[in-house]
Amino acid sequence: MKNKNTLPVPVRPKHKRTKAQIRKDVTGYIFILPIVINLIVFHLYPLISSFYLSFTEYNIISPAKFIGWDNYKKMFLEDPIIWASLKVTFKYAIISVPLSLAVSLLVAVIMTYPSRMTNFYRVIFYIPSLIGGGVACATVWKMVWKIDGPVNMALQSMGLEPIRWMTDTKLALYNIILLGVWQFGGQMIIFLAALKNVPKELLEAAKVDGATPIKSFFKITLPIVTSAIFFNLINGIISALQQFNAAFLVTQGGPLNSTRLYGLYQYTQAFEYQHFGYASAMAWFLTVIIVAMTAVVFKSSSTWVYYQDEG
Amino acid sequence: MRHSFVKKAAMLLAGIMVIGSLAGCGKEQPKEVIESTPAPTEVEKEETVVSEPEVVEEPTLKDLDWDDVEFRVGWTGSDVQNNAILDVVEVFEEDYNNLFVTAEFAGWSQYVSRISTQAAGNQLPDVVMMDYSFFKNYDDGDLLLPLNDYIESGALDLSGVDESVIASGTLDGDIVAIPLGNNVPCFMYDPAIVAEAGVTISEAPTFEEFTEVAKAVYDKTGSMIYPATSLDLVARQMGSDVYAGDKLAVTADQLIEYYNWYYDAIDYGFIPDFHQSVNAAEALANGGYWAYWIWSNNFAANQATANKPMSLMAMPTVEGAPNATYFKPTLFWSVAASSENPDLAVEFINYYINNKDAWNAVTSHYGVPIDADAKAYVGRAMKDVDKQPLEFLAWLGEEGHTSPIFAPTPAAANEANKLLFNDIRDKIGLLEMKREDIPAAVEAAIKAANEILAK
Repeated sequence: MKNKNTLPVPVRPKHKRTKAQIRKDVTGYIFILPIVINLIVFHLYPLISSFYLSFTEYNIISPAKFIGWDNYKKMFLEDPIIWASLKVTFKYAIISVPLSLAVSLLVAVIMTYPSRMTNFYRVIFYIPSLIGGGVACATVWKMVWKIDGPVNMALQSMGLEPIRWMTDTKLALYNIILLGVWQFGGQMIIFLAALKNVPKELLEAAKVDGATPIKSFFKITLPIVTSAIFFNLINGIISALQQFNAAFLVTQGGPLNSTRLYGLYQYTQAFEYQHFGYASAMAWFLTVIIVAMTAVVFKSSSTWVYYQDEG
Repeated sequence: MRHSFVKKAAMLLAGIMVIGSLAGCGKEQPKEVIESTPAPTEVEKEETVVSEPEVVEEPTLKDLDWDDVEFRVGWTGSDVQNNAILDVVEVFEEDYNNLFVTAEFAGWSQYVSRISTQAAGNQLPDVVMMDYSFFKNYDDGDLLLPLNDYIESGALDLSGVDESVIASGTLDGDIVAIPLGNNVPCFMYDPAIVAEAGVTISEAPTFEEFTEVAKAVYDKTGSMIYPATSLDLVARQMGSDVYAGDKLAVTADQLIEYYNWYYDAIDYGFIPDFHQSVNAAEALANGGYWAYWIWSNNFAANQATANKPMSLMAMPTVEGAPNATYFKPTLFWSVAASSENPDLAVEFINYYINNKDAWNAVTSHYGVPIDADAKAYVGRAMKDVDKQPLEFLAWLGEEGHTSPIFAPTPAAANEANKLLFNDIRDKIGLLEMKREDIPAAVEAAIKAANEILAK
């Protein structure tokens, strides 16, 4: 007896793609083909070949010679400079990333106070990021912080001694950090967008209840923008650990290797010593480090990051 | 209707984009310009068959049409030098129908890394500039075309060039590099400042004499010196080459002696420490430096910066040691083995060495020309200031103030030099090294360098 409650199971026709459907699919594939080719040729292929090269001795003029784990052995057991440069790079990252986040957040918060000049300030503060870490920028930077440059002249006019910003082994790294932090515009824009999402009613309610601006910032604004902080933190860590331009253009790793960042040492190994295989191994080591650090930050994010759509 | 038309157009456009991006540029060989000689008529042919066979003229390179052919020349130099070779390129282009030479030039360090990257992709320029310090590596990688056949056939005319000069670009019997000119490391100095200090200095001084004069000049005028900045020269001033084959030849004592001298010089004041960040151009012009180390081919350009009469002196050598000064091929021209137009590449080098217009353009910016006629022509045509290096080199050769150049350095030389020289010298220059610590630092550096060279 047929159970009245069971509906007849609709017989699904075998999914036959019509000609129109196939045409649609092919169109789609052709449209994404250029970018896929770009991804494969300029990203995937170099990635794979650098992994292969990290197991070879390659001086770029002769074909690569397979040497197995030797590069990695040399890296971990025989090369003290790797660890020295990692130390410098971590010091750079630990100082510049939080500093950059703090400065960009502070500036973004100040810009939420409406004033006629807000748009103008927004552009002004973003310009350093547009100029980027280019050669022209670095050249001018060097001129500004020279022993007889404008900064030191200003110090002297105030009766202070000129400071050896770029030639003192203890100060040069901070000079480089400053150059990195100076380009906080990109992070600032993200924060500006995030701050727009802070409900005005909450802030007004807090003001009515007698909260000081600082208290309402730390208790209301800051928790709400943690998702933007998270985003900028991850990006900041990745780019700080890979930093190369500033060290190469401004100090060339000097004085006395106090600014020899990991990226710069990689460049030295590759282009000055012609050890491209070793430099590739260094690149993969850094990748592992970055992946580990971002994994830690991601894992911890569930505890401190607030996403508005979670309610 | 419109919808499907737009889709069709979009598909077509995307397809074109894909195919266009995959096509790449094809390299063409020069097309033959069809010389219009009338084809022999039947009657004529019969006649000529009986008499001598038709002589078919081989089209020379100048007869061909070079439109759409990719021909690249890569070189390095200062602004003055780059413009000089650009002039040569321009005049060279005029001799060939529709030839466009792609000029690829850059400053030194950029150039070196650029050509090594190009070499990896087998994309070296047809004519590529090489230097003594690395052309052996390129030859080991079979990247340079041996030019022996071209020289024998006369396509590359080196009849006016000395054998020893050609030998400097020869490896294992293959002539792979042709020197642009001859050069020496030397000091450019201002005789007026020396006279003002009341001292004299010979044009081939000993290291001790040089130091005494430097101190005296500093005492009387406050003027400083800019010493040699590479380990090769530092070692030779102390009496030794850096490397012998794959091993270190310079001794710890020699290096310690130099660094002690360097420390004392900074202490005394006639070499500025790194914190002073002296602007070299200004110092040359206003007398901040009285002696400035240069390669002789840069004399004219540097003298223009100094804007006063300058003289040349040989590299100071410690008493009793072989002369520190040596003749060095300034730079070389080589033809890339991967070149698709080697004949034209050889023609370019031939043009550079033997053509008057090229001599006019380059004069002595890349050193003393290697061709005897060029040397004579340039010597006559040049301004006195340009003649000075030529006369200086001739004098050095005649008076025997040079010794042979060192053999090509091992591949690990860059790394070893950084430990042996840059690190220690920078530390002293930044006033971060105590004099008594120098011997220990040198010993440690030598040990580390030996380890690197042993690999």
